[in-house]
Parts: sequence; structure tokens; C-alpha cells
Amino acid sequence: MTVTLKDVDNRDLWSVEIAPQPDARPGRLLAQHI
Amino acid sequence: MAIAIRAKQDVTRRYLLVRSASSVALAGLGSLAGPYLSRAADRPRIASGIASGDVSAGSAVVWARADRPARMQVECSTLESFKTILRVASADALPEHDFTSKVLLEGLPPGQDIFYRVRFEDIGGIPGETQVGHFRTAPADKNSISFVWSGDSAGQGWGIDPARGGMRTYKTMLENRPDFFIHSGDHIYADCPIPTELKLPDGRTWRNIVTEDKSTVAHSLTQFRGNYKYNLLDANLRAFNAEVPMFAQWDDHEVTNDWSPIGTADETGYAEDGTSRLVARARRAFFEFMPIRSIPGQEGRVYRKIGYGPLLDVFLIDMRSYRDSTWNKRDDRSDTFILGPMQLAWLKRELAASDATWKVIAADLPIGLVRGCSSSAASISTAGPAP
Repeated sequence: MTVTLKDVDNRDLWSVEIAPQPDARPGRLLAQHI
Repeated sequence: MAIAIRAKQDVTRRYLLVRSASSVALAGLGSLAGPYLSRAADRPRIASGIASGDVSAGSAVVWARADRPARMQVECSTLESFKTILRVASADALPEHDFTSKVLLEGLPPGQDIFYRVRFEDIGGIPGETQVGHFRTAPADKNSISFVWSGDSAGQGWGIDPARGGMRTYKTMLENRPDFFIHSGDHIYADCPIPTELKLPDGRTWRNIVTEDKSTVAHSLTQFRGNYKYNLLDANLRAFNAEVPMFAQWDDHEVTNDWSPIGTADETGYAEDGTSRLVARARRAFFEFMPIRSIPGQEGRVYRKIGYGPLLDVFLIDMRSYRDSTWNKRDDRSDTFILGPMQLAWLKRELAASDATWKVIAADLPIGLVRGCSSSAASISTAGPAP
């Protein structure tokens, strides 16, 4: 997933790639941490 | 000089009257031109644009507001030509809800561009203008998804300056053609009036459109509604709303700065169930003007999950309505809370049950780590002056 911060003129200010973790059952892990 | 809406409307009306008179004179047949113009003026108008929201694979909310008591008629199609109609729905737009109206379109095909058209019919069945909108339903398979998120509209007195293009951020977001938009709150700044002008650091002047209801801190239902109507005067916002569905949540400025359930009231006080009447009016206006799905039996609940296909679940949380009212107001935070036990249990349950690859938790407050300094905690909690 690509997350990009843009300004009002649509210029990219910052961007980051986040890889999925399909085997980690992140929903369950998240729920345990909250 | 400030631009006042009421004055502008008067000018427009005079202009139309002049044009009307000219048309009659030019035609020389007042019996033809006059009645036509009269009928057009009598038809219900779409007063604040159209919008969609809470779109899933098979359903969506469509919203609009009339200028008089009327019935909203919505048709949708997968074809921009509306050659075949997929679904129709209707709902009343009445004074008790400031002529706002919402319908839930169901049984839609997933992963499809859906075009919808909205018109109001008055109590005599006479139809008014039609406006066309669009949304895309969530995919049934693992297709790419694009969405934008933002918040904080028209805060600290910075309203609509037509000379600067109005709310240009909405135009920019529309150019990116996202599947949906998460508005993470502060749709309005009910506690921040919009002045006629503001001075910029470089000496230039920012000139706002001003309205009566946006010229004071909101207390009445009319004033809260007026805040939403102010933003919808902006053509960029209306164009965006017509094309991109919104997932709306709220933060503090829909009510007042850094509000909590207890301690946020005006002279109208609290209802018998202990809820603030001020907050109730603000919540009512929010739900009237947002294309947000109602949760049966839980009227006024903002927190919800929107499943957006196998790749994405969006969890919209409410970090204002259920918080400990002393949160961020004392140093000892060991037993304080923000979400409240019911919302927290719901979030854990839904997260654990989610099979989506991506789980986006949309929070109306910034989430960060407290690093031992109380001022840091305050900035995370937005406890200071209105950010």
C-alpha cells in the first residue's frame, strides 16, 4: 500500500510503501494490543 | 469589502427580475414569457448540492437538501445515459430536518460505477431541477483501491474566499479520482465564526463569504445547520461531493473545542438522561447534513465499520462521544479512557473478525506515543487551543 501526503496543489510531499502481512492475522493482533 | 450572501442573493434576484422584464419586452408576448418564468421559480430547487456516502459493495447512501418541503426522488444506473434504471428510492425533505433527505440504495452490483440522479418534487408533485452524481461500489475481488482522507474545514476563520478559488483542496482531491474520501472530522468549526476578512502575514487580505449563521459561535440548531450550509456554498465542495462518496466521522469542532460528554453545555443544560442539549443539537445537524448510514436502534452513533471488498475494512471511530470527561484535564491518566467500554469492545471484536488484508482505523484524534512530558500528551490530545 502506498501512502502519499499531498499539498493543495497536488504536489507529493511525502510517500511511504507499506507491505501487507497476509499470514499475521493482523486483525487479531491489533485487537489484542488495543 | 466583504461579500455578503444575503446581499448577493438580493442582487441576483434583482438581476433575474430585470432579465425577466427584458424578456417580456423583447418577446412582446408577456403571456408566454411570464408564466414560464413563474413556473420555473415555483419548482423545488436542490439547495446545497448532492452527495453520497458509506458506499459498500452493494449499497450506498445518497443525500440532498431541498429549498422547501418536497420529496426526494433518486434513480441510479450503471450507465451515464440512464438508459436502464437499476434502482429508485425516495424520501421526504421536511422543515424538521431543514429539508435534508437521505436514501439508502441497496442491491447494487459490486465494483461498478454507479450514476445517480436526484430531483425534488413539491407537495403537488411538480418536479424541480435534476442533478447527477456518481460513486463506485466496493469491489468483490482484489482490485486496487484509492482513497483520500483529510479533515478540518473552514477553521480559525478561514472561510471561502472566491478570489482565491474557494476550497481548492476539494478540487485537488477530485483530480485524483479517489474511490472514496474519509473526512476525519471538524467538518465545521462551530465555535469559530467566519469574519469578513483576515490579514495575511504578507499584508494581503483574505476576504470571506459571510453568512448570518456563520458569523457567531453556534448554539442553536439553526446555527449548527448554518455551518454546514456555509461550506456547501463552495462549488469545489459540491462538485467533489457529487463525484466522490464520503465516509464521515466527527471530532470536537462539530460541537465546540475539545468537548467531552460532561461539561459541554450552554444555558440549555442537560436533558433528563444526562446528555447535553448543546451536543444533541450539534449531533442532529451533523446527521442531517452528512451522507452517513443510520444504524438501526442506535440513532446518532458515528462509529462504524465499512467493508470495502476483500482487501480493505475501514473502521471509523468516535473519540469524543464516550470519553472520560476528565481525560487530558488532569495529570493522572491511569484510569481515563477515550473510546468508552462499548465502542472499545466493538472495535476489538470487529478487528478480530476482519479478514481484509488492510484494516484502516480512521481516528479523529492524532494517535502517537506519549513520551513522558505532559505538554506532549496535550498536543496528542488536542487539548490546547483549537488546532
